[in-house]
Amino acid sequence: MRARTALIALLTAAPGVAAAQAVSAPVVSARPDKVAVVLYQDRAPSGSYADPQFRSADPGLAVVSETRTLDLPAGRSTVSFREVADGMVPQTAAIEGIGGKLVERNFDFDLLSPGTLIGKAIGAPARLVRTNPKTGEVTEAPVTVRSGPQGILLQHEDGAVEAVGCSGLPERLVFDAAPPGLTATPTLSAVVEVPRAGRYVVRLSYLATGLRWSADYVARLNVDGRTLDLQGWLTLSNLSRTSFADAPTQVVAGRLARAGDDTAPQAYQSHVLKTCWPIDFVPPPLPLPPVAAPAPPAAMAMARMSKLEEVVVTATRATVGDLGDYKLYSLNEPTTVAANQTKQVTFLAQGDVPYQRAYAYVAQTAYPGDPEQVIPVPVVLRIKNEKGGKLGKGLPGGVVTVFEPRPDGEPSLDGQPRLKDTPVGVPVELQAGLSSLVTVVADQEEQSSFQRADRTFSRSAVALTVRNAGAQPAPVEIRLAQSSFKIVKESRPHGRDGGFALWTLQVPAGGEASLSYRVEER
Amino acid sequence: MRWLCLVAAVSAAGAARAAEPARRPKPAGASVAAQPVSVAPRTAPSPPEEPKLDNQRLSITIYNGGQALVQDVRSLDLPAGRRRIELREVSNQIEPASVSLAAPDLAIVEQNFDFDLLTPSKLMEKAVGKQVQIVRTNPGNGQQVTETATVLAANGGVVLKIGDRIEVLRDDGAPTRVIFDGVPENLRARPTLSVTVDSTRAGRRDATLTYLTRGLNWHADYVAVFDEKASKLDFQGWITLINQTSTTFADVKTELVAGSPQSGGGFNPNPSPIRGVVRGGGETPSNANQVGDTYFYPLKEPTTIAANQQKQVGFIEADQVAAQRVYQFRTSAFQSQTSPSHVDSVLQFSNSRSGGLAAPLPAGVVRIYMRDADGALKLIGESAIGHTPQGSDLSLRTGEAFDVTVQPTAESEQTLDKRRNRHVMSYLVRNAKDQPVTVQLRQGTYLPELKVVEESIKSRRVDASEVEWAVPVPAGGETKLTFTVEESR
Repeated sequence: MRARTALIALLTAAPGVAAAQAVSAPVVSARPDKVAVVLYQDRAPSGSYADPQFRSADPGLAVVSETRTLDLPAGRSTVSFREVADGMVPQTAAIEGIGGKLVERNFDFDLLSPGTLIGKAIGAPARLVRTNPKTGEVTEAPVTVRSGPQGILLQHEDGAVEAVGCSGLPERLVFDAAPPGLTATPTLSAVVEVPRAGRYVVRLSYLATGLRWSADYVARLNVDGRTLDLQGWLTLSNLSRTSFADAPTQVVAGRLARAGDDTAPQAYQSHVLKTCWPIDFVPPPLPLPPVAAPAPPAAMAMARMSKLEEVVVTATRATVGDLGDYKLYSLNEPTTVAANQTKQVTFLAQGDVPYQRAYAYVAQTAYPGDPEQVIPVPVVLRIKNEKGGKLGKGLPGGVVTVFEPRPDGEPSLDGQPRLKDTPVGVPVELQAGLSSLVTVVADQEEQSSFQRADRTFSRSAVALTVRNAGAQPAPVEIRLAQSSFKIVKESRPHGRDGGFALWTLQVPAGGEASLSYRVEER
Repeated sequence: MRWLCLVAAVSAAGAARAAEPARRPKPAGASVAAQPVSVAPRTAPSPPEEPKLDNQRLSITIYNGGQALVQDVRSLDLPAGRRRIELREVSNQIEPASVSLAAPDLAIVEQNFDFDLLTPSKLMEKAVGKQVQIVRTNPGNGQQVTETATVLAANGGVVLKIGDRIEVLRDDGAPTRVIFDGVPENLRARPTLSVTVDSTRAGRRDATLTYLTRGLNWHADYVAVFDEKASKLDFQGWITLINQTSTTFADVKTELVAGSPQSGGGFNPNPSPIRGVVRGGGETPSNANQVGDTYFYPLKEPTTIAANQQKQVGFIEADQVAAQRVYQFRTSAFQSQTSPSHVDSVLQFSNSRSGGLAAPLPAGVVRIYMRDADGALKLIGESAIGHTPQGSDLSLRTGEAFDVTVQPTAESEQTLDKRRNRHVMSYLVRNAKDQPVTVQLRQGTYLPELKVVEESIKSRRVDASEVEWAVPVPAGGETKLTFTVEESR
């Protein structure tokens, strides 16, 4: 069943009906009955999610779907949606299921703050309350606010004018009511029109920042040297101030195009500046913090700066399906993603996955100017990810922590390579660091140029010595990008791998092997 | 600081002409050159009359660049002769040079926009040479003593003359109140426009105040719900108005202009192409007004744009718009890759009459969703578009296809002569989806020309330097495209 979006263009609305006309008292939807969240993958290009630098580069993205019950009168009414996620991007809100007409929706970010309290009270009555610092006598005078919040002036009933906060006396302004239209948090509201009064169940969905997930893998190599155990975690992070309790949770793997402006408008916080006339001994007031960019709330700043946040590892598991061209992982049970919490859910646990260890070195056509360098050879672990094989799953990109068993059986960290988004059928290749046992020494034997058809081409001869200081024989692959070069002479015949010439050398334990080649530019 | 603004409403009048020819204010205000009068004429020392706002009729034209043209019609009851009037409730981000006031039988003598805001220190500066009341509270016994003082100076401290003593205010730190006997007329709590007018007759009449203001902006936000099985799109457009002024515009007739007026930046002979559009359209729209080379979108109902509010109203709804998803991979390099790259997933549709979405699309962000089994919306990508004329073909990249990849291999590369290089390339296209796909694979070059010598699939020429192959890939399978091309300069 497809719910049809109840969004009727204002242009087609009946003419002559003024928006402000006949709008009854606002209907307040205090909180959602149910919330479901879909988190999108972190976009950090590399590195670990735990690195705060990567976190701040990406505000995260989630789709929040809320079910709310509204009791609407017939005709037009304004609905205020409270308790929406604090990272809400208001222009993305969609309200479905009203069945009538959605006239407009508003997002008010005129917040109730000391500054707006004064600013909106200009010309309005207030009371000035003073306490005599010695006698404790409290006096109260009816006044009218004449200016503020950048320096507050009051007018007494007799016309006399005074400033607040300049006399050195304990004094304060008291209002009878908060000005209308100001809210504690930015608020989404909608003007709706329904033909009949009644109870409506609506779905409010919107994009929100502050939530995201990443895939994290742990690969434990087994003692047999041929298989590994691979475990995959969905790491859900909520950096916002809103907790989602018992929410059906899904995550989307894959890279979405983003337009880059998914941010809430800056809430307008106004400060009171207690400026006075110049007073000799009083230090000048501190400059105002910029109003347009309020500092993040303390709790959030703390979470970003430190590692205070809680990490929860759950027994919940996730199952995978397709969402268009992405993968959609659904957690098998509703979960609570609390504010400033990181939660991990298993989506993959596969033992005895065969892998192949190889030493893969990409050789250069020339090693000019730096003879006899000792180069450590990168270690790669290759896993076949075929349908019907041990793995055979699409693997969302993430950091893989590779552990290798030590002789005593304790795991030792091998490296933390990053895996790209990998569909089934594409082999997995993990760079598990550089070997300190297998090394290459390159020696430039000749470098010259030659003429062909009025152009100068280069020619180079290189000798490589591969040494293995380990206790096991090492298979070493040497690749040479050869599309623009021709191998004219070589000490061993090469094979092909993609656009590369490939030599495979078995280097005995504690021994060495050599390879030399001469190339010419095509 | 109070500053005299010479009437320079030419730009405002010009913009008004573009916005609303029928309601264009008479340029009477604009043609009156202000006299550089040294003494502002005052007819009444009491605060001047503020026009009643009951009959205020507002209309706003908002441009994309954060600028808006406000037309404010107020009913003014004026006596004959010169009079200073104050117009409050104008935008606090008004551009003073753009203000014009036009009314029958009325000439503008001078107009001022007062930024001299009422603050305690301004009040003290204005009190120099005048008398104030000083109330001291004795910190020892709490007794209050009131004295009359003359303010001598307010420079880095207030110097007072009390009787025959000279003192500095609160030099001893003791609590001291200062009581002023009123507020000078030209200090205001809010930015205020004051105009001195010369009326040839007494009586009530409508005056049109026209000005430009900053702090109002708009853009479009679109929701496109893609149904892959039906190859259809449900499309909605919302106009998002943002009011960052501290002024609420109540019951205002609103009009939006797709485009920002040229604001002194000079003419750009090489404008950048419209984002997201692959073929610009030539259909005349039915839902927008066209004036000059610009579209105007009037909102049908008057609306209230509150201070610090973001407001959205719907303006387009079209269901069942024909749309298709294509997979694209483009490169201009001839290089091997050790690991595959994902292809782009692209949504294509048209805003032409035949496609079902017959409307020009003002610039904004299109958010593309799919529905899951429960009908819940799931975002699949976002794309920014420019002002898109009706009848255009749109091609919006939604993201990367997880299951469809391309791995290029440069098989060989050869320099034929000074002008030509020959490349043998192969592209392994893998599809892990459970249905077949076709990938539009484009090979370009950085040189002016590309020529196909040999190919495993028939190509289509895009232009002199780009060739496209439609590569079919079976479900769960792979296809290898190989070709030999020559690039030449």
